[in-house]
Amino acid sequence: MSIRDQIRKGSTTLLILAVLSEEPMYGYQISRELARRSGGYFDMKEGLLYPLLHRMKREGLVSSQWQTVSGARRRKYYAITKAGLEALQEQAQEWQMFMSQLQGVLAGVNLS
Amino acid sequence: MMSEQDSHLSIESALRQIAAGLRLSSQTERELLEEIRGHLEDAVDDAVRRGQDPDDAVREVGERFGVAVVAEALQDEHAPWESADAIVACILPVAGALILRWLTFVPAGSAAGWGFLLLRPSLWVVSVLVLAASLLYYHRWRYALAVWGFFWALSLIFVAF
Repeated sequence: MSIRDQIRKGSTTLLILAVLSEEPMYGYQISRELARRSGGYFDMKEGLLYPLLHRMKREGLVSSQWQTVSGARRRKYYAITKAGLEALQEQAQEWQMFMSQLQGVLAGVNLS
Repeated sequence: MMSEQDSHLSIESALRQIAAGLRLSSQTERELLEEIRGHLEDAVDDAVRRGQDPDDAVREVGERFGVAVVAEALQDEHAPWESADAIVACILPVAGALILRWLTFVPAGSAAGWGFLLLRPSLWVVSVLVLAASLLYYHRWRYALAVWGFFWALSLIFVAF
């Protein structure tokens, strides 16, 4: 597994929580938003978003609700919960600390 | 060039491929496939709006979605909980009904009957506990009431015989 894949695997929950902290979204919308904000860096099989969302729902980090959008077509909207917001704060701080320490270590590395 | 009906058929084929890899309850599968269908339709619509050929759009969307791998991931995520749901749905009413049956017998071992049972607070405590436990576990009245109904059906059988 590449470093990018490892980082993505460890941070996907955080990314989804960050996107949902602004407004409830449906799966495709979350996927597009993640791609847009990261410029495709965190690109993954879009379908794998759903098992992750369902696990986050089971863990109480998000809630979901079906909404009829047109005719008989429905979309399942996901919204961040209070526990999700707390997890977002905690994970975001942890990642900031991680990146800060990592940059400190890498400061002396010649990347050219 | 692929027509809208053809692209719909291709989405159906992707959904069938995913459904073939799922062994979950019919309701769970129905909801998962409805959610995935919406995603695929939105993605194809977006691609066609951007000027992509519908044929290519369906193929690309399918690849990007990971039709081949998503069923396994969904199955892995949901199957353990479906098993747990089934176990709880069996254990809760059976345990409740057995406790209730035990309560119907007076210390001498003779059956007290419903007349006696209905006056005992423990009957209502057990009954409410079974309902509350199901509701806490499933978070849905429909499921909790189904478990509760099963509990009462078993209780009627256990106490009567």
